[in-house]
Amino acid sequence: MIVPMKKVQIVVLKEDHEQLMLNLQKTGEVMLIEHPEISQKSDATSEEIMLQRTRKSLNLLKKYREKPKLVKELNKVDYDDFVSNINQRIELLEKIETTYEEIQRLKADNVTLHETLKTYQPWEQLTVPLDKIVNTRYANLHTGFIESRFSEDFKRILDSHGSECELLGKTYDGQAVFFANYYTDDSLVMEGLRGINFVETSLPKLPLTASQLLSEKEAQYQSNQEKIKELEEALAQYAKHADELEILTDQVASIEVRKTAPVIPTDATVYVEGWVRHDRVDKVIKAVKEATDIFDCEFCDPLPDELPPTATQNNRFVAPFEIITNMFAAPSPYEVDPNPMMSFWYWIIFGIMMGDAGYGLVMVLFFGLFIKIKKPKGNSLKLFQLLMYSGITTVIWGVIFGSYFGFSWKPFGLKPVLVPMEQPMNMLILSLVLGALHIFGGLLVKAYDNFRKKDILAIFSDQLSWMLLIGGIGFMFLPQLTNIGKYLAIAGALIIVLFSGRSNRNIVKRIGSGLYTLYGATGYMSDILSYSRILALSMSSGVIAFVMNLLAGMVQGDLSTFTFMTIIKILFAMVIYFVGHVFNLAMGLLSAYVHASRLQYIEFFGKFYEGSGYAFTPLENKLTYIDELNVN
Amino acid sequence: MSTGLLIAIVGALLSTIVAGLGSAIGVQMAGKAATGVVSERPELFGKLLILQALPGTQGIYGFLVTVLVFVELGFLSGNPALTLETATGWAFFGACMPATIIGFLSALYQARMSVYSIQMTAKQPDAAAKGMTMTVLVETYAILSLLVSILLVTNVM
Repeated sequence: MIVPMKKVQIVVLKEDHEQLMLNLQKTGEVMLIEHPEISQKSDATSEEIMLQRTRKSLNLLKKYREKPKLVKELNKVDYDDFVSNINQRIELLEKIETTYEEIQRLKADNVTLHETLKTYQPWEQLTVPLDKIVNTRYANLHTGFIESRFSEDFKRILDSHGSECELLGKTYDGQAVFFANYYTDDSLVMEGLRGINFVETSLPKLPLTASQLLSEKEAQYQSNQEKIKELEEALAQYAKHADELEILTDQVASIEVRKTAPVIPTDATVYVEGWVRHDRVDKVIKAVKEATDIFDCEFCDPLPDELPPTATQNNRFVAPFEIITNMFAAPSPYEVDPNPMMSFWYWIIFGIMMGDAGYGLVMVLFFGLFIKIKKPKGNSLKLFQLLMYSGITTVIWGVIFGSYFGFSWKPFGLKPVLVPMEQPMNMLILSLVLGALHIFGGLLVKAYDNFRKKDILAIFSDQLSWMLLIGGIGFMFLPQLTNIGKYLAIAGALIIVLFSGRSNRNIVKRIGSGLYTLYGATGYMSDILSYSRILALSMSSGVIAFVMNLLAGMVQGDLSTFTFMTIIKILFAMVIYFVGHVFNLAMGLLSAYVHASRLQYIEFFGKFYEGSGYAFTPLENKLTYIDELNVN
Repeated sequence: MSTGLLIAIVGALLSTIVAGLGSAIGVQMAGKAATGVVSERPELFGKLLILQALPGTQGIYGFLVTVLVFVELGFLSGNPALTLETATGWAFFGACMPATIIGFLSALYQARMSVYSIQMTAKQPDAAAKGMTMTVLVETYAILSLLVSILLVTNVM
């Protein structure tokens, strides 16, 4: 059912503006109207930045947090806490951020230290302080690298000039060497060394030996590592309070929503306009009264040229199916709510596409338990409810088809009515008949819409006529009813030709237009044939289940003689049963979801549904992590 | 096994293979377009999934024709017709062709429409319903050829 809407207009003094918005957000019953020319929104850049920060921190705390409990506990927060305590949580956020930044800084520091350690490693054996390696009056001192394979040549060259040398550590750069030449021979030696690719390296002038330097850097490296460890432990401690950050995220997101709500300010007052469900008017008045004593609040019906948002109210069974309709398009408030009729057919068609009692039972149990344990909310809750309900029809159709996890079984003498694999023609006929009935359902909704508009002639000429024609053609396939079918079809066709062009005054034009409408029969025919996918889907999932059982049966082999091997065989067969059926169930769910939706959108909605509305999304707290706000 | 039976079987298989190939290519084309959109706007996944699945119908129809031929030949009831005149075989073969050829081509053309509709949905999510309707119009001809194939297959013998 589509709930009628009222328009609310509120004026308050400027100083009461914030409190009013807070109260409206708390009730969550008003969808504000934006007037592009005059509406104003506050700047919420700081909230956006804050949200990015909380998300980043939550993300990096993720690895320190305890695994979520198997049974989810509802996250309840007091409303007063939610709207007032925010600074404490921001402090926590800042602490986490500084800790993390410190860790990052130390890690970067250690990367540099690691590089330094590697640079000084080859010089560790050099026992002189580095700043003492300078040329003396008679000797030129050199440090550098040669390739290890030339170390003999190197010694020979130096010996021939009477130079002193020392071979030091080896690295991937080569062999580190330190040598001293008599100053007059220096250029000659260097000339000779060029032949064996000597690379001169200058060491920094520090009053320390290389090994002293190394141990100093090493100590610093170790202390950094320890600090990192301490800080990470601190982070792990903060991770215990990560739920506070989650609350902060919801708080800031809600503030952002409130700030960006469109209002029209004047010099001294603020004017707020919005839509509210006609049965929730009292709540809005109460919220305004709680905000201030000085206000003006009026309610009126929507004007003829205004399109209010659509809020639907359906019973517990129909409500989950609303997500299917809303994914297509929300109904306009002036048309009939398609959900009650649609939900029933979606339910039936989903079941027949799955068509296995075992799978249906798994669906009911699995999705039922999932809802109980994980407590999803919003649209995902609706989706799981929809799948759970569809499990029921899946069981029913499974019994009709005599299919239990792909096995044919006759419990309590329940004989299958129709086995799709054995009687594909009958199954095809069943699919097409269901399709025709589904389309009749669509026509009935349209007829009801015409009835509301008091357009009885339209029911007669646009809906009843088609039902006569299609039903008549259907009857013509039954031997006993061929004649009746023929007359019904002719009557339907005549009504279409004579009346569907009734808006034309000219009789020739009227008949012409009627004939053209009759040509639309091809559209109905292709719509009905499209339901043959029901056969194909139920058959393919049945065949896959059958093949999986066959494979598992082959592995399992003969069970009449019981040996140790039998146990292993049974275990392997169990794995194949499990994996095979989980795969088939998952694929079946996906294609049943897609194709059942498609049959609603194209074949069913095509008959009556406009879907030109938009959904009612009131100003409310944006709760991603919190499940409930306790209001005292 | 007679030549006629062989020809009938080849025809039946072609309709699953060729129409299925068309659908596979089509769903892939639409899927490629959809992944690009979903990476930017994950909330549109549900709508795009339907649009992506639209060119998959032809493969289902091809499969349906194959099953019907097998029913007619008695493969599913356990007593297959082993002797089939060559002419009857060709008749079965021909009967499979509408769903095969038009199924293949219309899946490809429908996939292009799907891609355009996905792009339209990316820009304007509320227009998804219109995109679906326009894309499905291409399918009309696959359904007409399916009807012709069904009528022929069930009346050849």
